[in-house]
Amino acid sequence: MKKADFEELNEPQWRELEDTLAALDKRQPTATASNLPKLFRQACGDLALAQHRMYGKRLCDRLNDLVIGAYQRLQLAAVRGGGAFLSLFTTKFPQAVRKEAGLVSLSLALFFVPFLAFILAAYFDPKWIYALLSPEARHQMDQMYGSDQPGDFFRERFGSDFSMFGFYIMNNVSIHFRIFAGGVLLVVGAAWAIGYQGIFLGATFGYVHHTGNLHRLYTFCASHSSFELLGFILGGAAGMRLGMALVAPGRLTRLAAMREAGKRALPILCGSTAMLVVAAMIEAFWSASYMAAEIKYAVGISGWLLFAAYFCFAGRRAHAA
Amino acid sequence: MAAAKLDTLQNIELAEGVQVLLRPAGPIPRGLALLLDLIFCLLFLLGASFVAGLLSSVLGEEAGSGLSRLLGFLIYWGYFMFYEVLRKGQTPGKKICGLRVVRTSGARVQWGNSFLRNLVRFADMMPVLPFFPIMGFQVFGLASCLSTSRFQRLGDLVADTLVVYDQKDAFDDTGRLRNPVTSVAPPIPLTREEQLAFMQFLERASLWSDARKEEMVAPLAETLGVKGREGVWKALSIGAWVRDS
Repeated sequence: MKKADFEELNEPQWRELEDTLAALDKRQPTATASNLPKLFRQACGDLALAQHRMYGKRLCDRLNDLVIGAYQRLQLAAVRGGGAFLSLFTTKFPQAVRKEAGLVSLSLALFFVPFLAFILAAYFDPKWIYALLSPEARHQMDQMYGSDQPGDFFRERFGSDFSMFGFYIMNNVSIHFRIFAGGVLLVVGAAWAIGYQGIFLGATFGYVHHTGNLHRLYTFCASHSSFELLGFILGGAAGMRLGMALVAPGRLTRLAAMREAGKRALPILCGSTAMLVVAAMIEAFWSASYMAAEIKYAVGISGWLLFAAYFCFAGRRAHAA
Repeated sequence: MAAAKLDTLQNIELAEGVQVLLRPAGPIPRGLALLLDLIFCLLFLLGASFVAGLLSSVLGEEAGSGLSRLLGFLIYWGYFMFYEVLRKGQTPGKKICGLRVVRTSGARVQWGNSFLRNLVRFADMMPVLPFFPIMGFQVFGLASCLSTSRFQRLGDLVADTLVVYDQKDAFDDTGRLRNPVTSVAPPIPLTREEQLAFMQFLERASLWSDARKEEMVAPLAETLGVKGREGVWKALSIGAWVRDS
């Protein structure tokens, strides 16, 4: 068949497909939308024929664009509404975390070993803290948790609560995203960032142990501690998964391993981001409120226990995705 | 297609069994788009802090500062993601530069893809500029772009996406050639690839200078029996013969 005949024969269908796609892009209702799969398959066939019969670049380009446009339209994810969001938290997130048990343990160790080590070191020899915390940082700690400060920590007005909420979201979630991104740089970025958090928080706690008002620090931190620390640690583990794909791709090529790692890390990243947003809410609106210390400690401890149970047992029955 | 080895076109095979072509964009147009996006992003940040400043006179100083931090966070981390998902893969900078983000299958990016590629952007732009951490030297992103066949930065690799040219190839078939080309049968039987090469020579001829065209047909002088300008016309005529037969 000559090129001209081929074009003449198929032009009406191509035109119909073009018009349908244009109308769908403008969100206009079209009667021909239900023909889209059929028109798409026809265009696929026509493109293959045009390529094989060498009908020239102009025609092939036009059909190529038609096929890509229709493919993109047909491949749009079905709108699943709240269901997908819910299943992330009921099954996918805990399943993904269990799948990365090794990296999660590594990340936990990277945080808690320096954290506890610095608290202990500060207990026996406060010089360790002075090596880490600058005089300005120590002065700031004195103001926040100094021994001459009142026993309970609270803010006066809602406005300041909201201001702190903005600050915690901006600061903590950004740190979390950077920890995750750092993981892709051969694991080192995330490992260092997690370890740094451990060292710095350890030194801070050690300093308050040494000089300050411990009660004030612990009543403030207890409630959101599980959400915030676990959020960072899981974000670090997700980032390290990306880096591991480059360091140890296993039986895949490095490119394929990166793709797989992205898929495995995504639920953990989304889940841990949500944990940090919740942590910021608690930290801003609850942690500094005026309340009996026992309640805050109880909330804090039950947070850790509930997370342990959640990551061990949630989503066991549902089939792994 | 033999030409696939020479250019950066990517053959993607769809489930329907047909191959489509995507044209991945290199670091230069992508860098330009990024620069434009950063400028827009900064403008948005300025606008947000202005709005928050106005509102803080109503809501109070502290609530206003909270709002400005929240907006800043959303713009800083969300600018690329919202545009890429809601504007079919085009941030304003990419739109101006004629680029688009797609999945490697050619389909549109989804929230998951965009979230991943735009968080890893932070690693790609390392090391960050001193005093201006919104921008970086892009060392890792550039290295990754140049070492993958589809110009993918680390974020693209993880999210399984690539950036492609949106507009068509700049080309004009015989329309702009000075003289009409008559079709002439080739002196020897041609293989499929050779036929294609002659046809593409004809289709792209108006993009090259005369000297370049003569240079390109020079190795064929013996087969065609003529060389120089004559050779070019003979090659174009064979291209026309392939096209019309």
